[in-house]
Amino acid sequence: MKAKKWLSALLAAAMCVTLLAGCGGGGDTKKEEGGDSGDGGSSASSGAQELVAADTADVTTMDPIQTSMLTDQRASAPVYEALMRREMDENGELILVPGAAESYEVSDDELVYTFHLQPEGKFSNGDPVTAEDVVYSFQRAFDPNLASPQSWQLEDMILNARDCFEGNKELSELGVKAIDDMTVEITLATPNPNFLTVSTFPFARIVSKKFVEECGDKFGSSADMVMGSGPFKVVSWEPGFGSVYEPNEYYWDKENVHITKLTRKVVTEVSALAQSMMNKEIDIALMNDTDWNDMVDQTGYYDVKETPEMSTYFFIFNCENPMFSNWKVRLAISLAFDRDRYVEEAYGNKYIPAYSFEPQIATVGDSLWVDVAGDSKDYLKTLAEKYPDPKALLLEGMQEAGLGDDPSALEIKYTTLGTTEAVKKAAEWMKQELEANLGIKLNIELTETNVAYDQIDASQYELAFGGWGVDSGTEPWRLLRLFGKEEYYGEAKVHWTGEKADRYTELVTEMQQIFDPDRLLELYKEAEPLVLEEAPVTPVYCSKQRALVAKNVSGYQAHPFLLPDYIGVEKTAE
Amino acid sequence: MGKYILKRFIYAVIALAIIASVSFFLICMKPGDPIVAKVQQLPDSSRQVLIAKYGLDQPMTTRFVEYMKGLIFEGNLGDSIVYEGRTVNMLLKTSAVVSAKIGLIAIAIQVVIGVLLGIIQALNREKLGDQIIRVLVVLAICIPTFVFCALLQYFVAFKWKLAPIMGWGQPIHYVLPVAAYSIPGIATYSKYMRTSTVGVMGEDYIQTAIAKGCSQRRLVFRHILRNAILPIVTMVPVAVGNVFGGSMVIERFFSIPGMGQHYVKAVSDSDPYLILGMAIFFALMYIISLFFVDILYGLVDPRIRITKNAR
Amino acid sequence: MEANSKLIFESDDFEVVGTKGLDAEKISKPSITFWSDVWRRFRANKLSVVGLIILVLVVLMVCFGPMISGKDYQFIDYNMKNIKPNGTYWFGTDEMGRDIFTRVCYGGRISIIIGIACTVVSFIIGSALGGIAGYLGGVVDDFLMRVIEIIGSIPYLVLIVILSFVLGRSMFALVFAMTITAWTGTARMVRGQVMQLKQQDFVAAATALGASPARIIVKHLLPNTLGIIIVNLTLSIPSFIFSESFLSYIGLGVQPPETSWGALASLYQTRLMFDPYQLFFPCLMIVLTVLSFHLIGDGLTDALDPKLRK
Repeated sequence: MKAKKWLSALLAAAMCVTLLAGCGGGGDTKKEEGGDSGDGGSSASSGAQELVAADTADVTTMDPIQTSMLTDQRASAPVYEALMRREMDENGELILVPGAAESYEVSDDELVYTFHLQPEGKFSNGDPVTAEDVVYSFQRAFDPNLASPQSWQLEDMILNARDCFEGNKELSELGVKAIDDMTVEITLATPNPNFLTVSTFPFARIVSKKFVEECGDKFGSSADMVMGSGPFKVVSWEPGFGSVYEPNEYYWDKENVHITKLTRKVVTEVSALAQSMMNKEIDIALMNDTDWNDMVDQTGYYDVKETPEMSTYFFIFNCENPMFSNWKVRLAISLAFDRDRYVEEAYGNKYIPAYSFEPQIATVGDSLWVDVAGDSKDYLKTLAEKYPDPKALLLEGMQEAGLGDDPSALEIKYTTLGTTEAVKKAAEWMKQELEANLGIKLNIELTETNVAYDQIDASQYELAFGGWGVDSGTEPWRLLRLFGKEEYYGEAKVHWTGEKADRYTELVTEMQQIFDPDRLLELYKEAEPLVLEEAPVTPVYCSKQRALVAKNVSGYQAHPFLLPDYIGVEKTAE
Repeated sequence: MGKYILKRFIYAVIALAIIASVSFFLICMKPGDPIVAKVQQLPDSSRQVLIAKYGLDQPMTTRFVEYMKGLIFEGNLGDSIVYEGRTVNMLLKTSAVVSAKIGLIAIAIQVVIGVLLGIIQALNREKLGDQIIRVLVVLAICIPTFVFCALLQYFVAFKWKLAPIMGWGQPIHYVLPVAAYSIPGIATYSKYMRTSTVGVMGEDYIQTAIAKGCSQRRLVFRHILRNAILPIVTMVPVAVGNVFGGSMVIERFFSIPGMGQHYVKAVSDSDPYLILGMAIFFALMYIISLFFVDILYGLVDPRIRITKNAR
Repeated sequence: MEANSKLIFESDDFEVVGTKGLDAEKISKPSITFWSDVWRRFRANKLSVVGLIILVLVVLMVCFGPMISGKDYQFIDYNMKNIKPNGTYWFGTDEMGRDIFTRVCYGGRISIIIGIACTVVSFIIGSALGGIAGYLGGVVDDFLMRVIEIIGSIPYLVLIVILSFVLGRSMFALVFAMTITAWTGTARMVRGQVMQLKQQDFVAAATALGASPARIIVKHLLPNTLGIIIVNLTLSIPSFIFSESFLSYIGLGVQPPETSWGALASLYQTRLMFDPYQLFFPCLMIVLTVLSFHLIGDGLTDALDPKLRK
């Protein structure tokens, strides 16, 4: 009661000032006030279908080969089209449908793909999409001077791509050739069933050679420097604010584009996003906030779709540090806290607790990993049964490593990934849990995300936090490979060495070269328990995507792997 | 006067050069990798290419010389690394205007209301009106901006629907940010104004004016205001200089594409030339504003003559 | 009656009374020092006394609160989350089940120390340099003003990030980083006042009497600027408390599990719509503290200002 009174007193004061502010703003304020009600303008015009989508981070570039952050990719997706498109069928499975290419053929040795371009395919300035543009787009992706951050995903697939990217071969030798104006031939280095999927990714989307050459290095940096052959074109784009799109009137499939104006707003503050959504000002958003989820859901205005993502977050132990040289110490810490409670209490269940590196959607062949994994499923739970007393395990490990037998002497610096309130809360939870259960001491060091990555790079950390997201496929090796010796979280950063590390590297190397599900399953079943028991890194949680789509919007496909291009999306009056 | 301005101009150039150099090396020392801020899952080979592309592998002194060349001869503040293909000049141009619009309106409101409240308080010293305003003023100063923004957004926009929750472009979008920006300033100005008015009222010339039978109105506006406003006058240019920096909290809450958000993001991304460009721009505004303070001192207060000091 | 008629005075008609009588004529009140006079006038201002009492209460609560509540400010108990204020949890608990009363007390220690430490440092540096610049003028003034311009322009956030990296995330580093630029405001203010005052007759008189510049600044000019300086000080304590809360908001403030009022406000602000009491208490404490500083400041301004002396 007291709080409410206090608030209303404050607000009375605030209101006076608001009124004054209105007067001070000059006459214009009053005149235009009536016209704008801030509801996105959907109700005003009947034929128009104006859609408002929200983003939580700023868009930094719309050059398709430079987009690496999800927000950049989501903002660029309606503008550029790849040879093929991915969409969801009735069963929720992802399928490939024609994009800029009307059809394709594969040679018998599965090395040569021949794409036939859409005869009506045009850029939003009316120029036709030609094979030359396609070749140019792929050459840009592997141009060492442009250093696309994403195109490594294709560099081992397309012939000569790696050599081009490393500057050893001319771009003209890249395995992407124009046969005639409307036909493109792509030659692979080795047969790879993933090629078509990866070729739909942002960095492989088509740009106009003429337009890009006119823009020079300003391509993709502002609204008039962005143009593609996708269903929409950018009419305005202001950093920190958002962008506005209108349909590309030359798009080959424009019958299926129903939205007449698309606005993407940047809303960094979650309370602003949530309150706008409760006011029905936003049609589509990705929102996952412990405090606000329920409030927004209760409006009943949105369909909520939660999908596990193919991304896992984990603790990283610096194995070079004497404290963590012994695997028992690392495993003891990894087993000393309850992941279910951690995710519930520190994160309000916005994540999914992880007892292995594989998210729930991981697949082996045609089956889900969890169905075929057998004993390797949630292997951390098995380990918890094997070592029921983490503290005893810790003491054992400390003695083996010559660290004495006093756990309180073990003072660990925990480098956080980010400095937000959520990170603070989670770190405080972890500190209390580990200190209570193991008797060690955990010192939290709040660290900006990119500083944390810097320190991991330079091995100047003791215990750190990291994560990896995959949007190309659901095979477990895409995450497991990360800890192989030469990989991203490999020996240079984590310093995991020894026979088991060698064996693990062998396993993950083989995984990446074969496609036989049975053999893959065997490899996974050996690699997973190996890395979990050795614990140079230990999984904590997997993330999920939470898409909210207004109920009067139909045809929107929410899937973590799909970048929305708003084809087939319709908005009806409420 | 002309000589004085020329001297100040030369000083300003020297100060800016020092600021740019000191900031450059400070920013180079700052931990954090802009490439990582841009792309988190980057293979090392691509990373090396990017580092070379932005010249981050060059020695600090080489980069410094290159940067200074561009700055002096072309007025080029460099390129953003995180905002691919955008120059710092471009980013400054769009966002500084946005922040300045909100800030200037807010300052106008702050000064007018603040000065009025201050005088009212001083004239009614120790009476009820004074006490009430005093307490309100303190309340306004006491609430952290982010709390204030949250309250305004929740009640004014969400509950009472008097203004949009967030956004930018229409005049109505100014209401909440300007309100949030104004309140602490009103409090500050009224506080200074009260103190200095009370001081002025003790001076002999006021007693003389009263004795001469000067009207209340004339007394306040001709004698008291002109002398008591000096501290405010010297504060306003600095406040104006600061508005270009924007307010990160307000801009973030109301989703306004201003400088404050960019600056904090640039610092957390360690985007070196963006931070540096903004720092140089802020410094320029700050120095210009201080220059105006000194000019204004002379214009407002008959007792100070700048030309005399400058010799 | 007899004495009246006596016209010739003998020497023993007089007695030595010393200078007692003269003294009595000169001083009508008991002798008081400058500070006791200030205190007397301060006491007369009821609101200011209220401010002082509030401040003392806040300080007492911050010092002894955790002992009285007997709880740990960082102990997380998820089963006890978001409990409204009651007999056990006087200010309720937060969403991790921590006792808000203890946290507010603990956070207050840090906030008050930061506010006062930063203010004292920036007051000393600022008024010394501002006084020198304003009084001496000329080259010294030009030089110091350029230094102020440069220091005031260095990107503050970058400085804080670097200092917290070099010195570690300690309170000392925080105070150091916050004052390194903050004194410039005080310095400019004092300089402006001194420039205005030094043209006045009493300074000319002091100079004519041969007072050294240092004496003139310390004894004559600074006391006359105290009014404005004190307003500046009382405003700067809250502004430092807020600077710290802004830094906490963007994640550069005190290191968890340590906490401050700013950090608490920033954390509980996310719960505003659900559990407003969580935000209310840290804000109430900030308001009370700042209010008390302001009231005290107002009282001191009136009590210290030589022009207002009755």
